[in-house]
Amino acid sequence: MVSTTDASEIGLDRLPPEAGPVVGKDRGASTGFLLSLPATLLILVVIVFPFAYVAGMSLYNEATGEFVGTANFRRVLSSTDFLPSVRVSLVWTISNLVIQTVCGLALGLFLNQRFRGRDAARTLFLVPFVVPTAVVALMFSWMVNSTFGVFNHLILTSGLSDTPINFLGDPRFALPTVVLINCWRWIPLVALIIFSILQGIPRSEYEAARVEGAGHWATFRFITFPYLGRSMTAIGLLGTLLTFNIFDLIWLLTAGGPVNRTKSLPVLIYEFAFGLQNLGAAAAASVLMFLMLLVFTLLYFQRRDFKVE
Amino acid sequence: MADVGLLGVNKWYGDFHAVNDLNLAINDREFMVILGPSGSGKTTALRMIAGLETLDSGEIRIGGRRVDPLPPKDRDIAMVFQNYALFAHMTVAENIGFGLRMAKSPEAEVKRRVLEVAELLGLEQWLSARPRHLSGGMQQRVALGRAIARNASLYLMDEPLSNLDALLRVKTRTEIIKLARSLQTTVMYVTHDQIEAMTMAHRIAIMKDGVLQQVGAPLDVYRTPHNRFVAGFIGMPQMNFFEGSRLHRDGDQLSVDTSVFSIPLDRRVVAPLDMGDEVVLGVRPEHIRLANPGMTPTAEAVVDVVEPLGAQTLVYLSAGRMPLSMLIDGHIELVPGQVVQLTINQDSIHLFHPGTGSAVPTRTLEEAVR
Repeated sequence: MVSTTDASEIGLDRLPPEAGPVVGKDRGASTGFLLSLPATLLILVVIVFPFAYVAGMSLYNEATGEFVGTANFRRVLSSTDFLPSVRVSLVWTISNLVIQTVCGLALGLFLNQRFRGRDAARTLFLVPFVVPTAVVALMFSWMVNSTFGVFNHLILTSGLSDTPINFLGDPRFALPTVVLINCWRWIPLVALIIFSILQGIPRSEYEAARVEGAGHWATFRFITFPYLGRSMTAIGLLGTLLTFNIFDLIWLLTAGGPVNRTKSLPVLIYEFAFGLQNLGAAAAASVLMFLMLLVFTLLYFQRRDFKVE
Repeated sequence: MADVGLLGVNKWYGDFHAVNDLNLAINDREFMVILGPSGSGKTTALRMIAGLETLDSGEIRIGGRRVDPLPPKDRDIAMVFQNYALFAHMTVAENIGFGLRMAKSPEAEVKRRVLEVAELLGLEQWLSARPRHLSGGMQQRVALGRAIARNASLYLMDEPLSNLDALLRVKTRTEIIKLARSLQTTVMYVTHDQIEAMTMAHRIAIMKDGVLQQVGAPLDVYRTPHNRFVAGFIGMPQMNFFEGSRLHRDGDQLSVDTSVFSIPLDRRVVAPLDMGDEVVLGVRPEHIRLANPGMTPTAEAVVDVVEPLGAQTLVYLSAGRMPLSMLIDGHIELVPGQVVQLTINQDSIHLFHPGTGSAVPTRTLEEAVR
């Protein structure tokens, strides 16, 4: 049947010639360009232009409009607050990542077990993440309050301490407290991400391991962990950058205090900009922070996991 | 090396009776194929033996030892999975040696055994490769290698060939048979492919809807199916069934009559059936022949479709309004529309009870007495 059909029979000869090859070579290239245009424009408008503007700002005295070269950078680097802030940012980021990974992993593994009410638990897990930062800050400010807070009530009644602890006001406790509050917020999300990765591991691999005689630990080490490891490197990068940049929660809880113990780089930049009204120095600090994160990201991408085999 | 016994094994998934009172004994060093369509409970049965599913009732014994309360690792079994289930993040060598390492064998012993197995399966050059870089056939070998590296007393195989292409499947089939023979071991092999079952098995256990239908050597099952399901499932192309046939007696002459033709029987049917009762007549396509000139034909039919297979030709015909198929020598040429005379040997017919589908014994009285 097919062999007896020619172009005229099915009306192909009546089609205009340009309707022939729809996806020509040039046509494909320009289509690709057009399709990527909105995203390109969006990135230019919301990321590249603002950054270039800030980079420009860092070279000027914003109050007088005069070009000052590297003066703003020297001002920032010679500030007694700068290096301590870098240290706070590092402690903040690393402790957050470690605690969130460990607890998120444990909770994710727990969610991966079958038990009654698992679906409900999964939904409840998202609550901390849905609550707005301002509400989280307000809620925990009250809960850790040295006079009325529920934690101090528990500490006093259980006899752990005779005097109330000023969690956010005591230099020894401020940073750990803010870190833990931030962890409370993010751990459930980490757990859900880990849970979704766990769900993707082929069940038959676990069954094969059971038949081959692997116990719980060997199964985790040889099957679960390698699967998690790969996905976690990508998520780890994202988490590092996100955590490093967190400003709102810290500002709302402690505003960088007491005695600068929670003054991370983003908080320092905010103070330069709106406390000292020195936009040039704030811009210079921003550029420095960007460079630090850029170097970190580039080093991170050297990892084997990101290389295409 | 061990015999296996399943005693009154039941498995429910909610309301679904996946395995229904399964009793099955597998001999030491036997290659037993569990055959059935999807949903027949064959894989569930295998997984219960492996310890990957729990029993709702019943007992499983391997080598005389009751194993159903034990975890898989204590049952001394090895398993090959349908999708291979190789450890994606380990090399071929690590996959093969995994079970030995878990059993805390000395490292030198593991290395020696991995090499030995790799040599046996032709995997030497792939030892440091990851499974995903291997073809499906190679992955299947690795899965086999992982299973045989430990000398388990029972090998369980869950449709190990179904993900391979047709050519490779036939080749690997032969290799598995050779392997099982050289290992001198007991194998339980699950498949839905009756050709695999016929070619590989010492005995076949046929399951349907969770119920064991028949157990027997391949040719026994082919020759004397216990019911209509087994008759239709075993044998390619499928057996012809003629519904609404009747036993008929005209004087001394006994026959089975379809609506179109009649097959005379020169023997008495020993059956819980009376004359005139309805039966289903079953005839395999390979038992229908073209009548030689001068012979009295059983039926006349019109050729509908001719499918040459090479050595043989599969012909679809209509006898009256009844469709049937026949397998004839490849050198005979028929054309659609041609009218042909057919003979059916009375010795090759099967009779089934129309309600229960169970086979009606067609032994002669004399045979029954003997």
